[in-house]
Amino acid sequence: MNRITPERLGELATVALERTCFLLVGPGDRAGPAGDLVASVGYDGPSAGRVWVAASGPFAVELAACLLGVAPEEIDADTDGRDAVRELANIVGGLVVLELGGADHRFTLGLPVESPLDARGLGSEAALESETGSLRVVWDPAAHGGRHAA
Amino acid sequence: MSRTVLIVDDSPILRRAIRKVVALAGIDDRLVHEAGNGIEALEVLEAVRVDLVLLDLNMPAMDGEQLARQIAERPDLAHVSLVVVSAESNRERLDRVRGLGVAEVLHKPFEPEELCRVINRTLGARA
Repeated sequence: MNRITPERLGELATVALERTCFLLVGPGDRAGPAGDLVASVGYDGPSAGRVWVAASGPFAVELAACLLGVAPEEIDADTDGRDAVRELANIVGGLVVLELGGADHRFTLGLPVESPLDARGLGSEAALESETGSLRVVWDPAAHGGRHAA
Repeated sequence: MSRTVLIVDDSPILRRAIRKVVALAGIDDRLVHEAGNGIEALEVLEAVRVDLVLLDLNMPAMDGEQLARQIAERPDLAHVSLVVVSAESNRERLDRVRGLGVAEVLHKPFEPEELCRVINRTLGARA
C-alpha cells in the first residue's frame, strides 16, 4: 500500500481547493481546533480507510462562497457550509484513493457523511489555512471504509 | 444554444456550482434541471426531453451507474448524451459506465473551464 505523508495529504487538499474553486490555502497550525464542521468519506478495495476534513466555520463559509462564486454574506453557513465540507471530503477522498490506487484504481469510494473525527492516528494529518479560516485533513488507513447508506 | 441539461448529483451545492458552469457554456438556465439521485433523474427524464445528463456516480437511492444502465436500456432515451462528473476512480466501474455509452468522464476536482469544454464538445458532437 502506498503511504501518504502529511505533506502529500496537504498537497492533495490544496489541489482540490484550487482546482474546484480557486480557494488558496497555505500551511496551518496543527495544534489548532479540530474544526466546527467535520465530514468524512470511506473507501474499500485492496485496503480500507477513511478521510476526514474538519473545517472552521469561517472556512466552510469561504469554501461555499468560492464554489458558488458569490460573496460570503450570501452563504447560509448551516446548509451551504455543511454541504461544501461534505463535498470537499468527497473530492479529497477521491484524490487519496487515486494516490493509493496507482495504475490499478481498484478502490471504491463511499458517500461523504458528517461524522466526528475519530481517526486512530495511524495515518497522516495536514493543517491548512485560508484568509479566513482553518482546515484539517486526516487520513486513517486503519479506519472502516464502507459505502454508507444515506 | 437551446439544449436541455440535467445535473444529477447528491450535493446541492455542487449542483448549483455546476449550473453556473452550464450557463457559461451558453445553456439557457431555464433549460437546466437538477436531480439528487437516479430516481429523481428518471422522473425528470420522463417529463422533459433532455439532451445532456451530467452525472455523478456515488449517490444514494439510485447511483449513477444504475441510472446510466436504465438510460442505455430505454430506446426512448437513446437521444440522451451522458457525461460522468465524479470523484470515482475505480477502473472497472468507469469501464462499465463507458460501456453504457457515456461520452466522457470528468474527474473531480475539475476546473470550471474543463467542464465547459466537455459540455460544448459533447453537445457539439450531437449537432
